[in-house]
Amino acid sequence: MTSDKRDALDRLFRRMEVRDTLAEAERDALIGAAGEIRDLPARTRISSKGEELSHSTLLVTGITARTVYMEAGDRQITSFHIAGDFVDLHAFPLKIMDHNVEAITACKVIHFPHDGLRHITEQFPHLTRVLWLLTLLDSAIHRQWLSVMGQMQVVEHLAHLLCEQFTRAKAVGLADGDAFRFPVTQEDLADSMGRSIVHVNRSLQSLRRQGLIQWQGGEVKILDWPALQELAEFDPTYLHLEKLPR
Amino acid sequence: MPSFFFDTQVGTDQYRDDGTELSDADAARDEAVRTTAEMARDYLPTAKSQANIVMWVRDAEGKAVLHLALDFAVKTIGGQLE
Repeated sequence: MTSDKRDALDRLFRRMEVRDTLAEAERDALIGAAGEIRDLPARTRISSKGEELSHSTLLVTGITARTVYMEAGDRQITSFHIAGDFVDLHAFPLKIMDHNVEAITACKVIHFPHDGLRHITEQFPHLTRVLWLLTLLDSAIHRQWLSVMGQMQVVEHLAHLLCEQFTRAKAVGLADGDAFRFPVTQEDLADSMGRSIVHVNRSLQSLRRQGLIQWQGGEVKILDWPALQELAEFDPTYLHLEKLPR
Repeated sequence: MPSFFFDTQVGTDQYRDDGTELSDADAARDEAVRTTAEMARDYLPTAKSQANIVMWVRDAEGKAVLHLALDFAVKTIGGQLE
């Protein structure tokens, strides 16, 4: 059903509309390129390192992570994705995955066959630039994670991650006032920060003690946004939230 | 999986841990050592001349099973760096 797909693509459209204006024909082209909605249980491997992909996956609901495994089995989460994010749009030109994508929670996803995306790149130059922008946002976020991981202490790092997740959720209508869903495990969180679980728990306790956040049942509530933002040195420039002609 | 509790103290700042599930005592030991080393990375660079990091690990019954301590001291010799 086209109307179901239109609803499923709503967060993606919002994500794009924050940064530029889409023409109706561009929305229709994306709906036309979308496959069926699929349900995935939590912890499903969506794509694997070395795999050659003929489609890219849009996240409709839930949280996924890009992951890299070291030889000893240690896992680094290199990004979290939320509804409205393509989890592997870069796989369209790259073809062969150089990392994995895993469902953290139960997810709804839509596959976009690469043939359909190729048609978009050939017929819709502006929409192509907006899709390109989405992959550039991924790399901007990666740069920020790398800088934070290399330069910040763990409490500030955790504060930064929460500022980012809150800002991203809010931009696509996923925040409820000062709260947003972030149902990741202690281990997911630690693996995304490259720190031990105990160290991250200790930092979480520090943010709670300072009255900056609450975190209960997978929901984070921001209690003091200016203080959290200041602690994290959070500057959302890298999220490129300006509506500009691209 | 059993729970372990990793209480820490940096200087006079104490944290009572609310618990982490780990496969066994060996995993708890690895986690304790890694965490203490990571805390050193966070706290030692801002320490002027000394720092002290202590960790006690309790098992699910509340029994202490591990103690880790890290004492750090920086002394200037001969006054050249003053």
